[in-house]
Amino acid sequence: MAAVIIFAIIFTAGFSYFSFQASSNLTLDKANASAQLAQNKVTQEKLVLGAFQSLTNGNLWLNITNVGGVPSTIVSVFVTNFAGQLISTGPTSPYLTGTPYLNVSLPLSIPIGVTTHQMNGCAVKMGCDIGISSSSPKAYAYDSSQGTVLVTVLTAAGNEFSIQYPMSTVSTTSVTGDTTVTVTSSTATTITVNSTTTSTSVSTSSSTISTGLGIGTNALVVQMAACPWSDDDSSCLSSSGFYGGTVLLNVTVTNYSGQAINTQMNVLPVVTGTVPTPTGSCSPSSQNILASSAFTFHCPYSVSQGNVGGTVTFIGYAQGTASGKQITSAESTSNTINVGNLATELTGPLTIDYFNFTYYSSSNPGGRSSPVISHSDHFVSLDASITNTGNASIVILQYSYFQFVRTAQEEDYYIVNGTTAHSLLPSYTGSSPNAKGSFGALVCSEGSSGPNPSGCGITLGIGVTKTVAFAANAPGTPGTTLGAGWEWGTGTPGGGISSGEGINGFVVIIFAEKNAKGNWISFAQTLPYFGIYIS
Amino acid sequence: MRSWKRRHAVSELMGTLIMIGITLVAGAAVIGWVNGQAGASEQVYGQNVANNVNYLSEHLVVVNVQFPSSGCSGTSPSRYCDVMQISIYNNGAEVDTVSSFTVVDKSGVTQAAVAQTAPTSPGAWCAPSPGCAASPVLKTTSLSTGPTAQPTVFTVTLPTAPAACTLVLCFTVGSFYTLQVMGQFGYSVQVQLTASG
Repeated sequence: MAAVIIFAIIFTAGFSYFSFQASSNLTLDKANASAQLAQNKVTQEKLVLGAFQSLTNGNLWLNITNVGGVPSTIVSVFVTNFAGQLISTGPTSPYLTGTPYLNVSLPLSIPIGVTTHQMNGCAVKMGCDIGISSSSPKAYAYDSSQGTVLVTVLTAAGNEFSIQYPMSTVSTTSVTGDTTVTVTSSTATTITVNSTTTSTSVSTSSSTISTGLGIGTNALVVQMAACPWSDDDSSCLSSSGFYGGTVLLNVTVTNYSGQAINTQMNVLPVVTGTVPTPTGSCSPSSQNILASSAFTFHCPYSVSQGNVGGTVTFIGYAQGTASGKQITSAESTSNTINVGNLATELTGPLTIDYFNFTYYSSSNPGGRSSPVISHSDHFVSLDASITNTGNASIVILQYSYFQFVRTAQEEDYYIVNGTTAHSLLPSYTGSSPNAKGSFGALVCSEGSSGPNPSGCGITLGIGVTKTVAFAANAPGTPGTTLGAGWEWGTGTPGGGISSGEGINGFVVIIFAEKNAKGNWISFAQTLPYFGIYIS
Repeated sequence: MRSWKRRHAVSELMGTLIMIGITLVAGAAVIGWVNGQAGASEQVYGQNVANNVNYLSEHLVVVNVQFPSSGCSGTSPSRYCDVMQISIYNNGAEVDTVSSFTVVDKSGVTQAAVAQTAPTSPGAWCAPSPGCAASPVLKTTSLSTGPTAQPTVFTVTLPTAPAACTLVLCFTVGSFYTLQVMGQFGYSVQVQLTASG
């Protein structure tokens, strides 16, 4: 007995020891993993900075783009001079963290691939670009006598990213022959030319030229996005299933300078495969873009696929004049649009997630406690939530319908115009039901130019879910009047529905666009009848 | 001739009790020894683990090093500085303190070392010669961490006035130095810099 007790005690002590060791090892492993994760974040973090100065108030602005592999968090901003001395001044230290010394309050998180100019929520015109106050309370004001300064941001990961302001000057000590010197400067710059040649191109031995626009980066920045012309922006996310038509190119030009610039767009379409060169132009032809603001040019281009298809991409740049000087933006490239490529033919199913029945009763509207009681309930419309789980964007056409599978007869509800649910709810307490909703048929006019009518139907991008409405073809008096304008409707209006009518289930049939071979694509989904309705 | 000698012995009950007692005493001694050994081992191992965890959680960043013009004198190439300001940002997982700053020149000669040996007597920190000062005080100045943490600026002042610079305890403008910052748990970071001011 004593031996057993002693063994138990020793075993307990030993077990506790090993448990402690295991627990300690786990803690150490976690700390090690955290340290490695932090180190990975440090190595994957990369920001690109742009600096420009507002001529109107002298504030220095930072535009930051996260081109790294992890989200980045800016914790402070500071300015140093050429000697590395901190010359920004905050309330307690040179490290600036928020208003009123900055226009935004840090920390500021920048997602991957996002530029601060695109971000919102900072309640300033320049998106979430960081502005350093040059007036009271002054954090930093650039003075050309300071020469080149370094504007730096510190991230939560411990990295520092800097940009020199203004950009480097051009220095040439010995030049022979014809020489062109291009100077980009953010401030008024003095260029002194000393020449000992007798060339007539230099009329004086020393001349001074003043230039500069008050910006550290290019004054005009262009962003371009192209998508097939549609009533749905989600189609821009994927151009699969586009076989020709109009491509709308949206060109956003941002003027980072401190003055208005009269701007024009120059766009060149680049095609591959058998796609003919698209034709089109931008509207308006020129636009006076105010200081520190952006403007979007709309450029519709007519695109066709040719024999096989291919791609189209747009390359463009903005040109403008400010104070008599010409400014040209850097070249920008749009996303690529696939045109008529058979490889993008739609495959994969649609899913239909739920139904929401909307109805009214014309016979006994008052005092109802349940939406479905007897044959006198006449369903007028229903909503279905449809998700495109295929590999291409589709357009749902007018022929799509919803069918009750009954023992006695079918009853069809056709898709109605619009992409949102229709509201048609009865009044349970009043003497008459609420006014019926007004439905219009979804009508698409097929053109001869392509299988998919332009601007028609309900576009459903890849992975996009929309709630569409189906309605009986007789939203007038139930069971008696055939509604007008329902091209594909039958003579059977929406009628009563209950378990007593032998309903076996529902079938939803969605007609989508034709595929590249000109064949119709349709999807059917049969759902069992559970006798449960949600209104 | 047979001799009958009476022999005395403990009863079986007493013998059993004595044996149990001896066993318990011996067992208790063994348990005590085992527990003592295990406890000592746990303490050492736990301390090692804690040190490692703290070390792994420690991360300091030298954001900026500057030599204020007010701390420099003379003209190039004989311009010297005796004040250096170091901005330290703590982005580790725990609140931290700086243990020491060490500056060496390109030949490895220690120019200034502010060691954490006697925090109550700042004048005694400096090696190789007393008189160095760091403000705020190194070990007692907590460096917070987290999204709102900001760099802390430490000012290191060397004991020798620039005018009396012996080239040992001052920074020569234009010269190349290496600064090492040591955290309280052993994490160290080195930056290379050129004195300017």
